[in-house]
Amino acid sequence: MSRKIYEVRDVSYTYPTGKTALKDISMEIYSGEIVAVVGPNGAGKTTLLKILDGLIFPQKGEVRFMGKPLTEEVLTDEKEMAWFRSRVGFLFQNPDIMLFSPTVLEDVAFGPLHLYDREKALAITESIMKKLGIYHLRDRHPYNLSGGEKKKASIAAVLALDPEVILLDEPTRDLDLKNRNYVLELIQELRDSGKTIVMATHDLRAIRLADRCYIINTSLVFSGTPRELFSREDLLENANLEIPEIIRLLRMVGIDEVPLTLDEAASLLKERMNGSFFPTVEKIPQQTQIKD
Amino acid sequence: MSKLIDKTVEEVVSFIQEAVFSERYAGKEGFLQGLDPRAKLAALLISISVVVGVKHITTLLFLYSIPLIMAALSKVPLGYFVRRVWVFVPVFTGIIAIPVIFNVITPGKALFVIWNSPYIAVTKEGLHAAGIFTLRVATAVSYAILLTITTKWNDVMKGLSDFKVPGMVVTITTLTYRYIFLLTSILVDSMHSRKSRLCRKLGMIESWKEAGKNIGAVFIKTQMIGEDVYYAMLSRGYLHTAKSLNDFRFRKRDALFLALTVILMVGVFMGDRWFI
Repeated sequence: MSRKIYEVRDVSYTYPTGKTALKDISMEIYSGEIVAVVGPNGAGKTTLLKILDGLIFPQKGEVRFMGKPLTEEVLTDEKEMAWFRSRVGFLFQNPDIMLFSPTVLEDVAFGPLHLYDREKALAITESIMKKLGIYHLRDRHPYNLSGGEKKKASIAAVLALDPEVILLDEPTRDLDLKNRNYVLELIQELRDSGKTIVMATHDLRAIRLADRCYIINTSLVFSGTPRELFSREDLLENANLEIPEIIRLLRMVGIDEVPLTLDEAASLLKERMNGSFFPTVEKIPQQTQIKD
Repeated sequence: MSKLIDKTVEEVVSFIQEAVFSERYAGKEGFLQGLDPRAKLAALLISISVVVGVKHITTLLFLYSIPLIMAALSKVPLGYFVRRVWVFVPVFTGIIAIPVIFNVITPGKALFVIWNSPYIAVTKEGLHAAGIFTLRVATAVSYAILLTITTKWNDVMKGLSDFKVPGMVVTITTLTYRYIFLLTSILVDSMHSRKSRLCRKLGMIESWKEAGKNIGAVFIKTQMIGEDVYYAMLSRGYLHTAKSLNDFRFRKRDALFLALTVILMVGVFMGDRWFI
């Protein structure tokens, strides 16, 4: 069994306006898994991620990170804070919020500079920028970058801390197809390298990458696998999601199983039709994924 | 009128974005750029203290000439520098300086009578007082702007941290700097969004009302975003102290610059008090 990273017990959070954002949420997150947090707009997904990042604290309930309670008092201690911040990275939904320095280099270096000495911070920063292919943007003003470049710069800013846990808030939002694919591939790579990922998302392709998913709509509505989620129309409706078209197609031809990739869908179809009706199915490139 | 507001906002926003965020001249190789930010900060404090303390217009004119020379030595175009200073000066001084020119506030020899009953006139003494005040503000602002033009913002903040300025002050200043850009971007976006949905020409009062609503909405949005900017900083390990990629080294030339500033400023102050 993997190591328990987060333990969230009966967490409730109410905004200063009096509106309840989260009510009695309980969940567990284990090392090396991708967890998708799904729900309609305003369901409290971002609030939950902020709580997991120790930016805000629940009025009720408890959050534990690697066995330690995650409270305001604990994070006031500089040593504890540095320990926690170097282990958890948070990619905000809006890159403009994360990019606040005069150059991309300084922005990416912001985190490392607060944790390491100057030389080490610079080395880490340059290395991550080269890895993500944005080193040529080092002297550019972050506000003048394209949407995709901004996203890459903000991802670099998070990865520069080399966190074990990465919290992603709508990581593929507002991106064109190429950049979206880039982010999805990166998420997979991060998981392969042993990172734990918690992402709030509406993107069906991103949900498909998850090992487990939670639907929240102020309270916890569902906890299970993406396959279970896609097989239940009521849950998808609750999360303001649509059934992927390929699953709809399979249902139209009387197949109730839920494929997560095109390859799976093709196999199901071939199996049902004995290969005779879909001679071109074999030509579908391998690793092609379901598009929502 | 609506067009006037729109144009003004766009110009102000593009000026702020260019002026505050470009850091175009901070990266150049010039006289001030080569100095330790701490030496520049100390020199700024000394210079501004003297600017505030001197009494004569000739001394102020001399003091005003120093940042102009420094700007030229630091490869900052004079036209750009003077414009940046004088854009802000009316904002700071206008409300105070304008009433001072009238006999009601500063009695004296009337130069220009505006109204006979009640008697309101512009006085020579009033103009002199307003002139000195404006020049004093312009000179002080020149020194401050010269520092920010020739020094990267993070280095200014790190310099303040090194001077033991409380972390909360550094945080608030840092946040303000980061926040201004978002505020201005949102303001322009929301103005454009309003413009794109406007199907008829608004009257003056109506357009002012709309502008008021727009400003209110922008402030609500930026309050939320400002909070997130702070969270984004915290999330990346921010500990209420400024950090910079640049290594500060206080060298001989920094010490010499600071010593010369002290000698010059003390000399100017004494000359203003006892010789002019």
